[in-house]
Amino acid sequence: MKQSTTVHEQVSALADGHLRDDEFAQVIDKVCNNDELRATWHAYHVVGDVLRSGVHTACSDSSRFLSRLQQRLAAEPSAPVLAPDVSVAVPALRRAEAANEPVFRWKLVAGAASLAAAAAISWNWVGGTPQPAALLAQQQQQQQVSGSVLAASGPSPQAASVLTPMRVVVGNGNPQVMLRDPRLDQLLEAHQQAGGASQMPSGFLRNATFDGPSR
Amino acid sequence: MAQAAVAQNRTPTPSSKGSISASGGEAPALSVVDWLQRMHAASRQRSYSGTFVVSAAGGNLSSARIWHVCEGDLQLERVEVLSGPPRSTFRRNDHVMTFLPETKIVKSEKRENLELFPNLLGAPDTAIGDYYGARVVGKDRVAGFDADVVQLEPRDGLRFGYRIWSERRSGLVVKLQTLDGDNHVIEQSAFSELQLDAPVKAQALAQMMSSTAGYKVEKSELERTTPVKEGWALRAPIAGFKPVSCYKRVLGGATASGGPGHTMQWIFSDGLATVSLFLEPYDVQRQPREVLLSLGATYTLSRLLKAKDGDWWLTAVGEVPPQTLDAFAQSLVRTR
Repeated sequence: MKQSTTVHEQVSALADGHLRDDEFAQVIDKVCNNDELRATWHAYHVVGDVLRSGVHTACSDSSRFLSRLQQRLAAEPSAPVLAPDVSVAVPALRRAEAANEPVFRWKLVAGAASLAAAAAISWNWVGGTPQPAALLAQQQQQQQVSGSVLAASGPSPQAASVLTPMRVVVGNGNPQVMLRDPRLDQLLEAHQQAGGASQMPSGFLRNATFDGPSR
Repeated sequence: MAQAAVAQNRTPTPSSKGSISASGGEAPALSVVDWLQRMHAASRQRSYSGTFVVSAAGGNLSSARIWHVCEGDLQLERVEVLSGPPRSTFRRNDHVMTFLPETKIVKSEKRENLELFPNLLGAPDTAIGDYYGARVVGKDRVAGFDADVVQLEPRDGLRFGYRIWSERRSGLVVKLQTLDGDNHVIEQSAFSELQLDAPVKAQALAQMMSSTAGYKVEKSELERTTPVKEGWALRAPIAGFKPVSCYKRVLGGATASGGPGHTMQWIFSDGLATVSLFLEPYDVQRQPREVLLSLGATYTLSRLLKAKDGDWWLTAVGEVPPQTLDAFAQSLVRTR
């Protein structure tokens, strides 16, 4: 279990473009020789795409792409020069800095068990364990904290609750079904009209400013 | 854990002076209600223009240009959204007109609760103080203005905390952060540029607001009702949240399975955060799914409720932790 978590973390780092040199080559090697890891690698990119743009970019044939990648790897003379070359071949790696750039849209954070059975949307506990998704959420939280001036680690009164929010990523090719539900937008608007956050003095400004791009 | 948090919140600030009109030195030590009253008064009584930026957790940005003018009892506001589809919102007191240039539609609505602190307008109610504690946490500069930073800390896990930057002289809120239970900022809004006492002309704004030529005016259809009349009740109240109002509205036109879909909206508030419970008959053809979603500090929870008279669909929306929405959903009962 611990072993597989480590491998998944490596694949996550690979997808985020954080690996260099030998480590990079090793993980590439692992991913290329293991169907399950390749699926994981692919899933991480889907996760990244959804987090970045809210839209899932279809990848038609990842194994063909990877076999081409492998050919290129084989053609390279030595490991150290792999990283820059490959990052040209894999556009996703060039976007690494924006890996946590979020989308301003409804985000699916948790849900009822019935949802997992739905065809259009499936829980994407990447790699079978919730670890990677949690990792992503953690990264994003860290980003939030770094932006705030006075963030202190205070007591968490919510810790005991059953309904701890978790970031769940929607995959399976059709995330917009959930993320852009016009009816939810309507209810949100109705909620804002009826008060919403407008009880804060700046609430009206906030409501008039803060709006989904779907409308 | 919760008790420790309460104790911490009640720790008095060292800079106690008890003076509201501190202009240069220490920030005044005020109660939650006093702070909110001061901020609220400033937002009503001052004219200003500026650029307002809102961001959700992680950095999504949305910005707007704001003009606000006060002339006696009259308040006029213009909000021009700078990101996403173009949209102009005008407000004259509680009357709001939203211009959507792309679809050539104007949405016209009366917002009864706008700018209203239910607990502050009538007899001063200390209820907000029962659920939030206020303490000055420092000084800062926002958009070139000196501001006191006030933290409103929730006394339980049913609501979010807030960190508010209040302009030193006027009290105007120039920056606002919503904080979750771990003190993480989940939503943030601020003026990036602000001109206080700006020469905004009320006449010009009023004229723009009434220029609806070429637009189709849509009035939102609202009907007052009561939960009793609609057959709903809460088994137990959710601490701090008082019912504010209840409406019946037509949403999304006619439903697929015949008849116009009436949705009941039951609104609760704790003085700062608001929760809306939307209830409608379960539409088999639409087959909605039970989910929990977040948009900045706003959470949405949907759930299927089984009652004697059929299945109902609940959508709870609010600037509260998901636990609070869950508590509402658990407590909600059909009375017929």
